[in-house]
Amino acid sequence: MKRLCISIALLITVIAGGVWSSYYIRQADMRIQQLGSQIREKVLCGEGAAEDIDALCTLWEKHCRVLAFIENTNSIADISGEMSRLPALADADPPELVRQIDVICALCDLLSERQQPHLRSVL
Amino acid sequence: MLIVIIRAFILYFVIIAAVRLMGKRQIGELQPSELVVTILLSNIATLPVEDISIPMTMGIVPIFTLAVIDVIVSYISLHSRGLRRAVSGTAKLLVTNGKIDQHAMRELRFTTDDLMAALRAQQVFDLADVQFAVAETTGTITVCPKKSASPPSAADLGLSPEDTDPPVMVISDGEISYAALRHLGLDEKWVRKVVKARGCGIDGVFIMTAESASKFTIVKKEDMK
Repeated sequence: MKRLCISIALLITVIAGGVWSSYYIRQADMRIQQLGSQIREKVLCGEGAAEDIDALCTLWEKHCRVLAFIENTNSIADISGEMSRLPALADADPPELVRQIDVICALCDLLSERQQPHLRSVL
Repeated sequence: MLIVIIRAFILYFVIIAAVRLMGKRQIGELQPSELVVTILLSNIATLPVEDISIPMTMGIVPIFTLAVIDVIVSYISLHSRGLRRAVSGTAKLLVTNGKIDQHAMRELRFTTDDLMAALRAQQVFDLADVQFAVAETTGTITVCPKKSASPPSAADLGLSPEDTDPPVMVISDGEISYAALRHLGLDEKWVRKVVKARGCGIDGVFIMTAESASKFTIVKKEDMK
């Protein structure tokens, strides 16, 4: 009976951890997508987006610390690499910055989708 | 490299915890469901050790999930015969009164060589001597020889020997087993007394087994002789 109680407690912990991680990744992805749209709009309007780029980089830094416990570090490193190009592009090449933001948003979306319990991600 | 060492160290204890959680059944002969869990555990455990890009949680979580599923399924199986049959299968009679059930043999994909080897392993060399043989769910074959082919028991010979418990280990390498003493209804005082009577202390005893206060065996440590 002791084993059954430990097992049920572990199962609850594992399920709670799974649900939390799924929720956390979704929320972080939504925030990244939101910041991405803001940057895109500002760049297309010819406004400076340095603050939003800073916010996006800071958000990603925090996010990838938690992601390291959940996701393969290769895919996190890929996005971190793309992120590191943003500050330089903000000053030098705004059209390229928009393309870079699109790439980052797509990669983050893919990463988030992979962690959601859809039939396609389960299978 | 250091990460791999640390991960291997952590996973060693994680696997021990998971196997302990699954209980003693896991260590003996495996049921089909337990075999599946054991194979999966060993595979999952190697992934985060070999590839440091995979987070440790991706190894630990499935290990405990599988262990937990195994414990819960085995508890439900205790109360549900249907689930038990679905998960572990059922024992099948292969030989009845010396006659092989060929249909059961074909169903289990057992060859005659497998059957004869299993019989020989249980000291039965003639099929005609078998009362019945059963293929257990663990894959082993249990053989019950005919009474006429079995060695006579004490009851067959009209003897009535006293039924006693086997001797238990009271001292092992100079260390008293209090659980064994409780089982025998004896105490430490008795142990010290009998050991002293043999001319040594507790530390000087290599093995001491006892059945009762009057029936015991003491083996001294060699350097004490």
